Parts: sequence; C-alpha cells; structure tokens
Amino acid sequence: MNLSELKKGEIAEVVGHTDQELATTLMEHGMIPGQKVSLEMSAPFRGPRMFKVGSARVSLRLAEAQCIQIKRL
Amino acid sequence: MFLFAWLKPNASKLNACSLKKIGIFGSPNTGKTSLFNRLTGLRQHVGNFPGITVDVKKAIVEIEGESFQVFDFPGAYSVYPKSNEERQVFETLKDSSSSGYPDIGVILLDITNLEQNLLLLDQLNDLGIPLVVAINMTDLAKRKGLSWSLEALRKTYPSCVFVEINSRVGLGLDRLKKAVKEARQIQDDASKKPVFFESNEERQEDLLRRNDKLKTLAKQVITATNRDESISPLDKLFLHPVLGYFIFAVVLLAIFQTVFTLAAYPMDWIDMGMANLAELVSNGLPKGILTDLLADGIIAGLGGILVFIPQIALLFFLLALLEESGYLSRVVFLMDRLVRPFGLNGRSVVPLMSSWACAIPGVMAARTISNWKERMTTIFVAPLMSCSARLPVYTLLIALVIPDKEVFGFLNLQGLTLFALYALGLVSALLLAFIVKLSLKNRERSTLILAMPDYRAPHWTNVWSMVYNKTKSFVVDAGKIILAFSIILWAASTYGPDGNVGELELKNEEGIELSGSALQSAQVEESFLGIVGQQIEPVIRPLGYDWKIGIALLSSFAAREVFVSSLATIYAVESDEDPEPIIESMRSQTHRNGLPVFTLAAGLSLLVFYVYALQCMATVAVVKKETKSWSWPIIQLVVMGVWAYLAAWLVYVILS
Repeated sequence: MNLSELKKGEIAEVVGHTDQELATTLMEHGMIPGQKVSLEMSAPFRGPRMFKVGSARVSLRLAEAQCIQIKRL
Repeated sequence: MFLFAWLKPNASKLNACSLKKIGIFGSPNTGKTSLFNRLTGLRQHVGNFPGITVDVKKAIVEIEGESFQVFDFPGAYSVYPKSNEERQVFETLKDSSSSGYPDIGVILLDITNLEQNLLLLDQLNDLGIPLVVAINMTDLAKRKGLSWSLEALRKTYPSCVFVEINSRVGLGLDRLKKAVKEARQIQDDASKKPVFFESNEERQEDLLRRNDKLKTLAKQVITATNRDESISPLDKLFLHPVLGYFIFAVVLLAIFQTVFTLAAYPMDWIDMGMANLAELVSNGLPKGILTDLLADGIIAGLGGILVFIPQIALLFFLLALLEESGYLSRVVFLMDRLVRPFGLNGRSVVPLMSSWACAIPGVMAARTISNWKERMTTIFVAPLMSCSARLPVYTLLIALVIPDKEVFGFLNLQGLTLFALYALGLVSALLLAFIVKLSLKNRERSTLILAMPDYRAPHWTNVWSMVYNKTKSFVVDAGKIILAFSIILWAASTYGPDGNVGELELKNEEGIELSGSALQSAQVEESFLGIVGQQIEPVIRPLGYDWKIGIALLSSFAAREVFVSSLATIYAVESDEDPEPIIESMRSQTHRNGLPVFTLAAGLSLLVFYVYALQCMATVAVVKKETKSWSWPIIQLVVMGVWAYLAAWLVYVILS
C-alpha cells in the first residue's frame, strides 16, 4: 500500500519510493525506509495531508503521498 | 541621510576579495537566519553570490580584530539542490578554487531535530570544508526534556569544532567567534569524499548509507528524552477543515485592515511633507528649469517612492510574524488545494491577498515560492488584484455614473458595483493564472513537500531585519526606475514644443487672457503629454473616452490615484480635495458633437479599464527587480493593456 491510503490512527513503516525524482527530497524530509509514519491532519477536498515521520512533521499532496510505499504496523 | 547611504556601495566591499569567507549553513528551521542576523546586525546586504547572479545575504564581520566576509547559504537538508538557484550556489562547493568557496563553514544543528539535521553536516564534512558546528535550540531541548552529550559527535567528526549556542537570544556568540578562529587552522584534505552525485539512484544510495550511520549517531548523542511528540493543540485548531479556514479569514482580514488603514496615516504625512518640501524648494530657489526639475520632478519622484514604504514595511512586519511563528506553513496547507487548479501554489495565497493592499509588497512576497513557474505565475497575476490606489478612481467614477439607490431593499448599488470590481479583479487573476499555467513550459513539476515547523514565538531581530531588508531593496532597486519615470512624466507635462507651458499666456476663443485654473488647464493641452493625449484620442475614442481622459490615463501611470488629480487640473477644478466639484465638472463634459462624455457606458468602461490595466510604474519596476528581466514586466504591461482595452471596449459597445 502507499502513504495516501493511510488512515488517521494507523501507524505504518516506510518501505520504499516509487518516484525516483522525488525520492531524494522525500527522504531528506524524513521519509526514509524503516521510519514510522502516521497521518495527523487532512485538508478538505483531497487537499494536502500532514504526516508525522520520526520526530518531524511534513505535509504532502496526495500525489506525493502515493509515491511512498508503506506497510501497516 | 541614511537613505543615501544605501545608494552607495559598501566602501569595505572594495577589498572584500582578499577577506576570508565564512559560509553559514543549516537545514530549514534551525535558526540560521537568527544566527546570521546576530552575527551581522544591520550591516548585511543582499548582493550577488561570488561568481554567480543568485541573490545572497552577505556582510563583513570583524572577529577578534580580523575581518571576514560572511555569506548566508540557502537553508537545505542536503547539498542536493532543489531549485536552479540552489544548484548554482551549492556547485561552488565542488571546487575549492571557485570564488564562492568558503574558507570556513559554520553549520547549525537543531538539537531537537538532530537526526534530520546531521545529513548536511556529514556531507559538508566529507567535502573537507573546515567546519564549526553550532548546536542550537538548547533551551528548547531542555524544556522538552532532552539530555545530550557531544562526545559521539566529536569522535565521528574529529576535525570539527563544536559549540553550543542559542541564536534566538544570542547566547554563545563569543564562543562561536572563538571557534571560527580555531577552525581556520585545520587543514583536512585527506578525508575528502565524493558528495555530489548527479543521478537520483546514486543520491538515494548515498542518503541511505549516511542515514544508517547518522541514526545510530543521533541515538548516541541524545541520551534521554521524555518529550511529548503528539500533535500540537494549535494544529488541531489551525488545520481544522472548518475552523482553520475561519481563523485564516480573520487573520487575513486583520492584515488587510492594518495595511489598508494604518499605513494611510504615514502615507499622508509623506505626501504632505514632500509637497511642502517641493513648495519650499520652488519658492526658495531662483526660478528656472533646475528648480522646477528639483521640485516637481525629483522631489515628487522621491515622494512617489517613499509613499510606498509604510505599506511595504507594515505588510512585511506582519508576514514576518506569520513566518516566524510557523503559521505560514499552515496557510500553505489550508489553501494549496483551492488554488492548485489555477497553476498556483499554497504559497501564492498570501502574496496575492497582500496585493489587495498594494501589488508591490505582494510581488516581493512571492519570493517564498520555490517553484519557478508558480512564482512567475503569482507575480504575473498579482497586479490584477485591485489595490488600494485604485480605490479613489473607483469611488470617483462610481459616484459619477452609478445611481445611489437601493437594490433588493438592503444593498446599495454603488457598494455593489465596488464589490463587483474587486470580484472581477480576483476572478480575472485566477483566469490569467490558468492561462499562464497552460502557456508556460513546464520546467519543474509542481509538488508540495512542506516541513511543518513547531510553533515558536517570533524572534524580533529577524522580524525587523526582514522589514528593513525588504524596504531597503525596494527603495534602492525599484526606486531608481520610479524616479526615472517620474522625471520623464514631469518633463512631458511641463514642456511642449513652445518650451515651458507654465510660462505660456493663453487666450480663450473670445480672445480673453486666461488665468487661474482655466489657464492651467489650457497649459496642460500645450504640453507634450497633452499633445500625446490628443493624438491618442482616435485610439481611445472607441472606448468612449475623450482626449482629456487620455491625458489623465497617461499621467496616472505614475500612480493610479493621480487620475483624480489630473482630471481636476484638466477640468480646471480649483480644489482636488473635495470630489464634488470634479464630479460636477465631469458631468458637464461633452464630446465635440455635444453628447455627454461620462455616460454610464463610458464610466463603466473606464472602471473596467482600471481593473485590468497595469497603470503603475512602481509595479513595473518591482516586477523587473524580482524577475531580473525586463521581458516579464513588458509582457505583463502589454497583456494587461490589451485586456483592459478589449474589455473596456466591449463594455462600452454593449452599453451604448
């Protein structure tokens, strides 16, 4: 599954990236394989989502979240 | 006098090349700006990064008797560039002989977010730059219940000098300065490792490799933590799908009201002060062309620059508060989805809304948009947001052609028209953004990867420094262009083929010598501006305007509100303070065929023209400054001019 499918209250682990171009930036923002990630807030109308990854917080659009593969814990 | 000091190049810049260079590095939200401001104070200025044209903040700082040149590198998590500008800056690190290569690097680490910040340190260390590592946010860490030990860091990076600082209150700056002197002695070429990988695969491998090491390292440094990492209650409120938007609307309204109303007082003082100064000069100096140039050209032009300062300073004061507190990232989160269909970014929202007060700070605020295409789109459409200078024009014309009556029992038709004009500007801005989106080649894809920093109390040094730098860059860079335009406009309205029109003695049709305002009005007709205004009448006639409106349109390029005072001069109205005589005079204006000029059709056509036309030389100057090219403002001028013309023509044709 990918990060856009994660629901509030669930905890997952980053597994990998499907977009080579974005992967570097996403990893710099904490989306590194092995990190724990959870969904905190969503903007309406399928807007950006704020995730907690490690101890950092980052907001992504759904398009970016879809590029991050996760597994539910 | 401080104003003129800005215009002179920094004297110490001349021998700057021989000074040692210190580069300040750090990931976003590590307090890099605070440290730079602490180190340099207001001596800093924005200039070119050595060898390239990218803007960089720099300053000359004396440390224990020796002068250093300090550069603020872009805030980044790694040396892998995210924008074209970052690419140019970080590429100077590839080659130690390039002119931007720092002799010493100072890198900031936020101890509360160590794991994420270590990457940049690890890469810079591998490049072999002598490094001073400043451990920042120690007060925050203590409050969060963190304990740490730097032993593991010292062991991993033996050539680095470590100091603990608190950049917000300026603690540990002496230690840092001492460390800078120590760092210079370290020469460490042997341990240089490759850092700049070009392909995405190599970069990710490099990041993963470093991450394993850095994760362990961070765990060794942070020895204890009992911090509460759950979501901030403020985020639950500010990012709430309903309440969040309500709060943002209130914040926006407060900003808009402050800039709109509070700035009006100092603007009036500047207007009055410059007018008095001009009068003093023209009365005190012997009559002649130089006195006229000084009083009506240069002083009026300077007034035209200074009058924008209150709005720029106030808006950037408020924006700096939002940015420093961390709220700005929340605005981006809330608004991104709503403006994305128009090719804009969540970051475009504040610059565009600011443009309702004035497009100049709005265009300048677009700097925070890192995506080139989205930034250009924002700058391009910002002037369509109806600014406060249009308001006098709107109110005058509305009072002239729109009847003061109620509709639907409770709405005032005049107020409704004013609202419609603002709405027309907003809708057109979004439409134009959509067109720009389709026509600009997609050089970068649009993404949103937005760090959400913790909420923090604003740091006043940073707030003032932002206000100072933005105001200064406007006065210095855009000011030159505005001054040049003002002098040209002054010359065109003062001189005609027969010389200074103010000295012409003119008679009316019955051969009687004109005097007072009637003479002034007749004199304007004889000036170059008046002649051009009469020449362009065939062009503006289809819109329902006569040549007198043509002159007012041309002269309002100095600033839109000049339209009102120009009309007052041309229509020979004695006072331009009270709009009633102007309105009366305008009502009685007729075309050569005897029909009235200001019909409903012509009035609305003129209103629509002002919604669209880029009638503001200051905006043109600022767009040139921000885009670093004349092509953007010229395209903007043409597109908005043509749009204004066609829309005004359409309105006139339909209604008449």
